[in-house]
Amino acid sequence: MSAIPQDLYREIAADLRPVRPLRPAWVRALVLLPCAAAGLALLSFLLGPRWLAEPPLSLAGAGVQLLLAYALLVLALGETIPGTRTGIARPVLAVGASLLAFLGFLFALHGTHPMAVPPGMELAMVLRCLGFSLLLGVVPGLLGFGLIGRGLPARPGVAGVLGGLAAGLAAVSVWQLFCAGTEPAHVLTGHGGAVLALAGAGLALGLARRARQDAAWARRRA
Amino acid sequence: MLEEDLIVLMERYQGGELAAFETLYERLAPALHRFLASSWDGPVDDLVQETFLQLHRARHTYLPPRPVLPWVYAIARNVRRMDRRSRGRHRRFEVEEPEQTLAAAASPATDAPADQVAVRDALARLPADRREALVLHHVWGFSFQEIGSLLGVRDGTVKVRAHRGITTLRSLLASVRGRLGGPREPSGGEQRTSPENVSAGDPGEPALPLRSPTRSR
Repeated sequence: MSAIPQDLYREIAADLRPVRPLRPAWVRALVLLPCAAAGLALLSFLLGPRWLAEPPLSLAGAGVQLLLAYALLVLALGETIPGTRTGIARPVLAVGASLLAFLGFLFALHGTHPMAVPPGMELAMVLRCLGFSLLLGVVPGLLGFGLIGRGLPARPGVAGVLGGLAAGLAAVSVWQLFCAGTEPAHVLTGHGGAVLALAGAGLALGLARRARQDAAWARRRA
Repeated sequence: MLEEDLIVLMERYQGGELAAFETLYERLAPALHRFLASSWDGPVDDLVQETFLQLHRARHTYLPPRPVLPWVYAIARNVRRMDRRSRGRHRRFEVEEPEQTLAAAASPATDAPADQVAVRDALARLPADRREALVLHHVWGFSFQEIGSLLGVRDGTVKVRAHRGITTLRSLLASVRGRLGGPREPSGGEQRTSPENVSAGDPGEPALPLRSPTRSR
């Protein structure tokens, strides 16, 4: 019979409150949908219900991107359950599909409804779109990172990137319904920049978590 | 140890029963010890203890009625990786192999100390994923299915890794023998020792100090 080390036993016994198992990843990731709905309502309130006048292609693009964002968050949360068969293929495929969808709808929309940014307004429009997209991505991002933090990701960096991409994609899926510009340069910088920024933030948070864990372990070993 | 028993124990543990943790520890600690020892060159007790600590802190991430063992071993692997990183010994781990694994690998089939050293060196030079699959299967006797669950990969992937590990190991051993001026391979040995041409069960190959899996669950 294996004897439990005394310090381990004490630590376990001191913190043995009942816990509720996490809900499945696909359930927890549903948090993205009310976030998107709230963002849509907020922007409708601030800027007017412009999205009602959007072409069907734009609405379809937003819907597909939101679904892909949800799938990314499901994958990110799956990373936080030890023993879940993850591999690298599914995250890579999901990220690739999301980027393809983003670019595909960008060029399709530009092809069918070209709308150039007024001359001299390029930078201002990019900053405006970046700002709104990041603003919309903050809440789903924080919620997503909070959910990731509740688990035990084997690859915190991967989970962080997936979570950040999910938040960014959800944000721009809503924001694109309020932005008239379809010029690729504008969308890539103003909208795509926000997605990349949130993915980068996710990566940074994931790596910071890993570094913190490593440091704590090194201290305990010492 | 039945998986169903472990699931019940985990549920009781999540409900706050200390006795359930004690039973889990009793049942899992020896296997975890072996698992961590299979690729570690330091004291394993610390890692086992840290694994149980992480397991406790993350007990809410176990989702009943999923199998318990893959969840536990995934946490153990996390701990092992964390320890490697915190020591900043990535490179060293690529070229060193745990003493316990090597001791286990040195079966009676390998009588000469020189052979043991050669096997030890060759094992150490294997890519980490191949070495892990090979050692877990051939030395510790885990089935491919079990290893797949432990590592979070498909059974077929484990088989491929273990097979490639064996073939690479044979190539390395053959080249070591060639360098040391040892007995030459039989005629055609170069062909047989190339990774493409050597099968894991080729009876013409020199005996490897690896045990056949004996455990079955």
